[in-house]
Amino acid sequence: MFSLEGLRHDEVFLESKKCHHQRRKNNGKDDGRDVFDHAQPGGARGEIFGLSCQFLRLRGGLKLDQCAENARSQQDSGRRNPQRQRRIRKPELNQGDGGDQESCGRHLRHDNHAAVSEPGSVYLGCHDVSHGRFIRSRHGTQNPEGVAVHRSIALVLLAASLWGTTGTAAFFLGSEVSPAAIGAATMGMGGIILALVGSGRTRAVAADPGVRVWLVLGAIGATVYSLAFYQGMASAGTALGNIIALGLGPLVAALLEWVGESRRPPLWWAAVSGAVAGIVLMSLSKVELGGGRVVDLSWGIVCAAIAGVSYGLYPCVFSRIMRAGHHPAGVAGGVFGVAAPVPLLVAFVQGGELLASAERIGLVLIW
Amino acid sequence: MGPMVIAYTAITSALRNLSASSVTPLSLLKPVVATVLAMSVVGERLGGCALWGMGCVLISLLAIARSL
Repeated sequence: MFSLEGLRHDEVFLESKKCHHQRRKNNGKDDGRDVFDHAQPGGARGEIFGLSCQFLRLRGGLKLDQCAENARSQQDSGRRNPQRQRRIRKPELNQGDGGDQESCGRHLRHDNHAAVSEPGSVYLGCHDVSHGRFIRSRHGTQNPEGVAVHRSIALVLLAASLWGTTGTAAFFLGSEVSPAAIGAATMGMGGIILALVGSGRTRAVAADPGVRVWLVLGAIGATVYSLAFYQGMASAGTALGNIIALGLGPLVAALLEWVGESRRPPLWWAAVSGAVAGIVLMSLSKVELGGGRVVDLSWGIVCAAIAGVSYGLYPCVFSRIMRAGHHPAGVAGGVFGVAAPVPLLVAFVQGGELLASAERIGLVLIW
Repeated sequence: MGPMVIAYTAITSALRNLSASSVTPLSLLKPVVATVLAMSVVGERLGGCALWGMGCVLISLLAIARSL
């Protein structure tokens, strides 16, 4: 197994996708496939293997200029963002674990990337821009990141469970409060807090002209999502609203990911057909909402579907901004911080009922 | 607001160790939790058609998550 500790996910993500598709298209045995098949499923390791796979293709002499191009594009984006440029240090190849780099069969070295390989042992390296470290690894080392991966899985499960409670919390605010105002208040205040949590990293994202388009697109998505999602839950029920919005999200995200390719995997069409069939089934069903609320199933489903499409924009927007070298906390702070003013305005205009009792204020602030 | 801030902070920090494709199936827990709460706490009643429909959407989601 390879291991590259501390390598940032977004720096290797693109390579992984490229490599993965290359592997699929080749459909034959090459170095890349061989190594990829040894990867442990899931986690950053798969993506790191994407990187290693690319470098192994370099070893085969297939695309020697690819590495140089990568390094150049990273330098270019560094120039656009002087704050980041300062953090990039020249990589220092570790001489200790495997011999002098000069003695290796093939050697590539750039400011941000280096790959050294020789028959039977492969060295990978990537400069970690966020921490200013140069990391390298060799075939045969153990992966030390298992604990961190498990902790991350627990974090995501905790986040998803907490998140699942929002619809129920909105129900207890009462039916006289406008659902759009609840969503807007949550997104507006949450966006400001996330922007503050990201602090300097948020400012770096906001000041980078190269990602401005993505930032605005993400902010529009977040605003539409917050308004449509709560309306969908109020009209079609918490259960259907959640399933539709969060079911469509990943389908749209997958579509955006494959948008540059000539052919989409057949599975995507199957999944879309399944989801659409599911939504049609739901719209034909009888639904009773709790608390004697009135169901408006078709309007609720339309709202939830709009929320799902805007939710599906997030992964694309987030990965584009992170690929430009930004920290995840800064990306979340930037996108939701830029999105905050419009929802806050909506909450201000429509949300009078939210402030009607101390209980409601508390419920909105905490939940 | 609390869940949103905690959720986004948790997910962004988890993204440093996990790939987006492994986060997607994990986040399926959200609609499941929401549905369980809606039916048990809020008291929503769904017809058989809606339950089948939910099953269709969840299976499609799992399929897409595996292929990412």
